[in-house]
Amino acid sequence: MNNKRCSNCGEVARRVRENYLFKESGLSNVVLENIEVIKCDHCGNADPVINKLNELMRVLALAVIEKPWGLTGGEVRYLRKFIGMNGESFASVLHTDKSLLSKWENNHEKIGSKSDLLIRCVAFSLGPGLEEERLRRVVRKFPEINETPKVVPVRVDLEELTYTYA
Amino acid sequence: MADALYVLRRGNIYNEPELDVRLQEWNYRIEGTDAEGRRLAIVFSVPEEDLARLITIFSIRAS
Repeated sequence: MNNKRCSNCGEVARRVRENYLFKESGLSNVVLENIEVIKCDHCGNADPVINKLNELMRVLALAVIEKPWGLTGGEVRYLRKFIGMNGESFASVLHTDKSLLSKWENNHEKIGSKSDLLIRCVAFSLGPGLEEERLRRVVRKFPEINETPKVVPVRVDLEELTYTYA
Repeated sequence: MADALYVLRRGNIYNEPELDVRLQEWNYRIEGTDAEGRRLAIVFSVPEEDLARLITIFSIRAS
């Protein structure tokens, strides 16, 4: 069994529990709380052990949709990829063009408040496995959304599959 | 990660696994396209019965 070998250098690694900044998600602000990480003291590599990856991606989509601030470009891209659409298809659903969507995703153009809400609605309508009742609650909170885009740290409890905005 | 999951769900394995001699693990390669239509390859191993390790993901240029 080589699970305690570092995947980077092959040296013996140890399993620890700690918070992990989950940049691989495509979002810069997600911290997985107290998860198992295979850490290598030799080369410094850290591999997170994620048991419920599909569920985690779904929870992150909900966290983005429910966020009480305007969406950032990275979050729009995350939602688009979550529903498995390419830029052209997603843009056509939003009745916009691909180049404008690209500008939104790269933070080169501000996303209008109505487009922001439409993106959230499309994402939860087409997103796989999102709970209907929970989504109804999310939509009722739409009036509370501050239109200013803001990166809000999200802390995820992988055991409970819950999240909080820090 | 979303691109990796997309290819994992829809991609195929075309080649025999390769042995990572250092870790003594078999590395499997899945190829497919992401949502944008770009060809990607994912390499992963299965170090434990209930654990898959994502090793790398890279794009494949059409030859």
